[in-house]
Amino acid sequence: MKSLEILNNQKTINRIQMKTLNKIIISLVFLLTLKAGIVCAQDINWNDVENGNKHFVTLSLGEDNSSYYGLTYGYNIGNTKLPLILDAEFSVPFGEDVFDDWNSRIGLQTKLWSHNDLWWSAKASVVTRKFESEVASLLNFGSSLSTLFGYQKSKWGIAAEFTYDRSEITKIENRITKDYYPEITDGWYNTASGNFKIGLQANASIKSTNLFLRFGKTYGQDFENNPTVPFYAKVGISKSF
Amino acid sequence: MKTMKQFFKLSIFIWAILLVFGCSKDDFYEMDEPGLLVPLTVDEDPSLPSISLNGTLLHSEAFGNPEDPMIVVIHGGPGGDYRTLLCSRDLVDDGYYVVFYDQRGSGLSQRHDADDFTVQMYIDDLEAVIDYYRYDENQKVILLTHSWGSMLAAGFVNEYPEAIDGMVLAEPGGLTFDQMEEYLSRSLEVELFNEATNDAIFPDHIFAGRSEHEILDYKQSFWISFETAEGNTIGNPGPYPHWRSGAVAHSASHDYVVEHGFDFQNNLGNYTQKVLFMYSEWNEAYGEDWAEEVAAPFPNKEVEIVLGTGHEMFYFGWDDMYPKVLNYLNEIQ
Repeated sequence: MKSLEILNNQKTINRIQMKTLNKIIISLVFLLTLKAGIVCAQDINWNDVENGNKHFVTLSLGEDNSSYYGLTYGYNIGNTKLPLILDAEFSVPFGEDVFDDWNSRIGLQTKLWSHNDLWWSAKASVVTRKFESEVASLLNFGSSLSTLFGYQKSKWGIAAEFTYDRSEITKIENRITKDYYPEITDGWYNTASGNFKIGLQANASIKSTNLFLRFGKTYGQDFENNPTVPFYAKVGISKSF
Repeated sequence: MKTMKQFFKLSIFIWAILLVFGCSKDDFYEMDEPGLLVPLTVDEDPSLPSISLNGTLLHSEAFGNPEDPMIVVIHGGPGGDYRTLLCSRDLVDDGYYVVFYDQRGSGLSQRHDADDFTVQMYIDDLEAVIDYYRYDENQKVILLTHSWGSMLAAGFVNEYPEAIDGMVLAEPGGLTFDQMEEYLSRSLEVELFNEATNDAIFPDHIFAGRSEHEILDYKQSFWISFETAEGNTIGNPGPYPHWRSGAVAHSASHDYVVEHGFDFQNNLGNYTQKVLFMYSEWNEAYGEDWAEEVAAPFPNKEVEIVLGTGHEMFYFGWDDMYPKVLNYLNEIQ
């Protein structure tokens, strides 16, 4: 009898695990097939996750192919043992026209492994970018994957970051260029290409408030045609609760 | 249990990578397809006027009587084109044979790989253009030039002081590498938290890590908004027409001079013909003092201001520039 109870409990546990896993897979499929693109994902102090905090809010400003400021909200849809942070970010480049250009991002990140103070996480995101100038209007969707390997103590942490930030498709509506080249073609373009980012992240923690600093180098995926500003930097203040 | 969880997490991560890389987009335009986002070049469209020389095909036109004194118009950049200089055709009615050409890899001229671009290449191509259009050895040759084109003209005359019968230099950045760098530090001053800067570099998110020339040229075109933004340093009052920004020509040429340097003034003392040196009223990075400094190596020159315009003085300031150019041409006849 006891063996049957144990077996039933094990089956129940397995069903719950499979349901959770199915939710994860479905979420990833849905998000990744939207084909969006990302800049940087949520800054997470995994100790805050283990302490049971569910909500993560970050204000940030930085430089990443434009100077920008933004707001991110994340929520742990997993648990302290199997954390899965679903987050959304909205950022705007600096400039006189405030909302003519913007980035919005939805992402998932999880801690893949940890041992003592070491941790390894992965992020998958989709991003929508909108851009307007007198040259053209662009609506871009892309995706990105990144991995961080870090060391987190109670009051500080440091991590190495590797990200592949990919553009997928873009709707191009040309403007002033049409005056000079009437045959220019508007429409949806395959803009599949990307940048690699390699950098460091550091954080200082006071209770559930973290100050993050992230910086690194950006390379075009061919390591020849690199961005005009070949580095990125971000300062953020994050609160979890 | 823990191993299973870790395995599932890693599997999801790897699967996500495969999904991202496995995308296909058969229903979308391809950015590198010729003619979609940037005009066809002369090797892609045989109907465009062109001349063949030095192993390349240059977009080129000439107007007027081929036996009249020849004016060769040299555009800026590197990587620009002669579209905004077409106003110089007015000089045909004043008795000149006016020749235009897009430099190698620029405008509608044939594209070339980065390794092809050297300073001597530009000088050799200019020599070949003159030889191509020249009626006979007695025909006078005058250079009417702008910005980088003026630097190139000075370099040509520095090497061949006997070959040219007159020059109009309109705001060359500098006649040495150090002068050029000093001018660029003022004219291309970038403010990071500024709309114009962000409008120029934001497309790096989207057109990232691609080496196809068509894509690089299209991405380069977004810098137009930076050069013509309200309050821009070089005084451009608005956008101006162009055919194609030769991104590879521009970057490769700059990389070449960074590595090798240049000095276009070490023999200018032997050029005794009068030179007309022009600068614009609204270019805050240039001004009379810089004009005098850059023009100093010429023993016989006149420095003139072009009013009511910035750096793109041919397009925006031709009404004031033309009579001054014509007056100079009449003086040297």
